Amino acid sequence: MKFVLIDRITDLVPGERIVAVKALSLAEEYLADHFPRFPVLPGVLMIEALVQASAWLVRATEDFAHSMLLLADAKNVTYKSFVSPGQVLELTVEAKEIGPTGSRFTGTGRCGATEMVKAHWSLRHFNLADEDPRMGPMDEKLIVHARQQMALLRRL
Amino acid sequence: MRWIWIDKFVEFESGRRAVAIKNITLAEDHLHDHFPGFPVMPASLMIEGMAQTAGILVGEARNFEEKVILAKIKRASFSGYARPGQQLRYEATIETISPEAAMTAGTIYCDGEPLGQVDLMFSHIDQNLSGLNFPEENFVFTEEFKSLLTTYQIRR
Repeated sequence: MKFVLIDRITDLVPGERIVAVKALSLAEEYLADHFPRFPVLPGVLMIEALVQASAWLVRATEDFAHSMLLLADAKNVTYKSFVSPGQVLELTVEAKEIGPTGSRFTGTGRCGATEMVKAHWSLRHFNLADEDPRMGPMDEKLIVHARQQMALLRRL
Repeated sequence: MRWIWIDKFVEFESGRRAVAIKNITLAEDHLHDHFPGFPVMPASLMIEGMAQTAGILVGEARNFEEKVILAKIKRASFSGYARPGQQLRYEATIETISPEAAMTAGTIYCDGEPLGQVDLMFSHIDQNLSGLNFPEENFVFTEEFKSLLTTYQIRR
């Protein structure tokens, strides 16, 4: 697991909202580069954590109908402070709209009472078979993996 | 996962414009999670590639004397996705630069085709993030980042 940016889903209301946490540890290799004398969670990984949380909300809402959920656009992603190793970022994501081919969200990341990031973004949902029917088995494989991963994130 | 998301600069006009490229390869660990069996470059890491291209451009404009931190993703939009074997090209221009902050505009190309637009705001944090704790020394522009520019200057 090298690009899993949430550790646990703590609350999920299909169609509405998801709450998840990302704990930051000095054991994570990228912190050695960002930055050597001042390790902090890169801002783009805060938006990645929000995107991953919103993708789980979509999968739970539409019962894993799509294999691919990708960031379509993000607007006004504002960073307020630095997240340091040992801190836990709590991500709260509200769905504005979850449609058949896309969805829109607002969300925040907090450490305790302090807001670290807030953002607005949208996802695109599709299956690889939409473009090429031969990719159907690949969609199935991705969806099986997503179901297993979600069970892990909710059980922890 | 390390935290260097551009491979080299191919154009650099001080204070104005920079172009960097990034090859996507299956040798990168994060692609095996995103997604297992169908790797695509995460959009968040393409935003980071643009932030590094534009951030070094902004830093160089002030002789790397300022600590340049990503403060806001004004807008990031993506029309598709990029896969292993493809090459990303980040073209960044400075829109405004003041003692406190800089705004940049950027376009991402994948194998020559437009893939996304990323407009960012950077803060010179000594000037306007008082109250936050961070090191006195310039922790942002490490030798690893500066060497990307040095290599370009030597080879041109």
